[in-house]
Amino acid sequence: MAIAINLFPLAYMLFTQFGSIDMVKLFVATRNSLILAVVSVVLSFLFALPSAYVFVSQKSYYRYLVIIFVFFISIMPPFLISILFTNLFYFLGIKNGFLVLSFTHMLLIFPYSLALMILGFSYVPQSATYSSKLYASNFFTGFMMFYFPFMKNIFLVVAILGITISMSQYIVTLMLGTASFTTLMVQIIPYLKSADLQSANSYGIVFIVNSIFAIYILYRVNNVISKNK
Amino acid sequence: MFLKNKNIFLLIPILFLNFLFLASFGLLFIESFNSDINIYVDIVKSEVFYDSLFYGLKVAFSTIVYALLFYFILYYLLFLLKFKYSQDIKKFFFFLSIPLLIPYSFCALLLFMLFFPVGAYRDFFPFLVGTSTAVIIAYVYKTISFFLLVSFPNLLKISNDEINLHKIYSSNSFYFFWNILVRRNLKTLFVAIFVVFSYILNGYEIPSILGSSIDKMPALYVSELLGEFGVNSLNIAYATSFVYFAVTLCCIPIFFVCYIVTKKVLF
Repeated sequence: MAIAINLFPLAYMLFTQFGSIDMVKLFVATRNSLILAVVSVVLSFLFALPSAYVFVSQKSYYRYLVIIFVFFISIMPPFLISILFTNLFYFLGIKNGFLVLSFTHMLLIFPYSLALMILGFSYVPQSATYSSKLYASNFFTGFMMFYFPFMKNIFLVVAILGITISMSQYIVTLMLGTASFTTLMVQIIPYLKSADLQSANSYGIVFIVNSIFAIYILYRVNNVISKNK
Repeated sequence: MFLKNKNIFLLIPILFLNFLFLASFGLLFIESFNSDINIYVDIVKSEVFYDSLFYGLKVAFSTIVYALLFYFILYYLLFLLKFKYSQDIKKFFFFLSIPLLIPYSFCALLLFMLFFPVGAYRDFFPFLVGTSTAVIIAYVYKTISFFLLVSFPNLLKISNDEINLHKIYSSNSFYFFWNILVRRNLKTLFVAIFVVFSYILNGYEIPSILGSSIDKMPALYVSELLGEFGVNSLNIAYATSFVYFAVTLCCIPIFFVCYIVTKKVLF
């Protein structure tokens, strides 16, 4: 038994330390983390995809606009981004916490998704690019017919990266979220600060299991799409 | 013409984001000046500000040094696989990207749950608790993978002709690695180092989970200021975060000079 505990400490903790926490709070936090992550990843796709396409297909000054913006976003600390957008949304009178949070999380994911999508578009062969220009009536049709088959793995990586980035944000979610909308990270850190390490451990295990579960689901979705295609 | 065809509507998302970003930046800058200009003077005179800044710089530079050390070793091994044994290194791409796909908080929590006071292996590494070592380990783990991924395309680009040519004229693989591959990567690597440096200097989640309660990283210091209830505390927090960001931006010329000096001295 002792050997098993030493070999699989996390599994042991999962069974022994769960009694001390509020299961309803845990469920709500897990659900919120996942919904927020999925919505911000979808938003990041919507923003990054057209930008990456124009970046690769158009050799113009637009490239500098993208590069400077992405560079600033990637070197800017998340807490400063959250301060910036708390202020802006307050000024604009937007009080929908979920909308504000999804937008800010999307902004944190954006540099990575854009960089990866630029990489994905540059891997698409010239023949597919020419075919999309000849046969597709608009950007969406051309993209689904000729680009998507080459880029679905990149989308998978972007989705995984996006979900993990969104789920691990603490300060942004704390500052922009409301009291009723809490995520797993927002629950974990206060337990750590108040030295309630048992509860922190329990939430931590759920966080880790959640991340692995999200990554596994995305792999399954990718496999199903690949088989259908 | 700015754009040649009808894809102009595809520019809307990035233009919208740029506009929002600039608007929020301008708004905050104006508001931080609204209250009192002396706030900035007080911040610069504060001792706690310098303590957290130097602690942040120490963690950031230590992480970069250790990560670079491991990066060069791993990159050289990958290079040898291609140079000496003609292996297809594309298959390693997935393994290299795994640490990047795992969240920072995940690594921090895993370290915390295994080696910290209530962890399963708490007796193994007691020196991790209450020092910056655990923070540095968590950052190094992610940074190595990031450095390798940004320099991976240059390794893929080396053609077999180029390798054969060097095998004929010079048998030394390290010479090829250092003078050709590292030289090609230098610019990308310096940009990556700067991105990592700014991220670590302003990082919050890992220091708050693994860091000590005495030494505080800049982000932790700002979050403490945000939590204080005072007449000017919010403005002080805003202004402090601006000063830290300004410090990060001031490091751009320093990194640029370092890049030029490295290029001249080493190559």
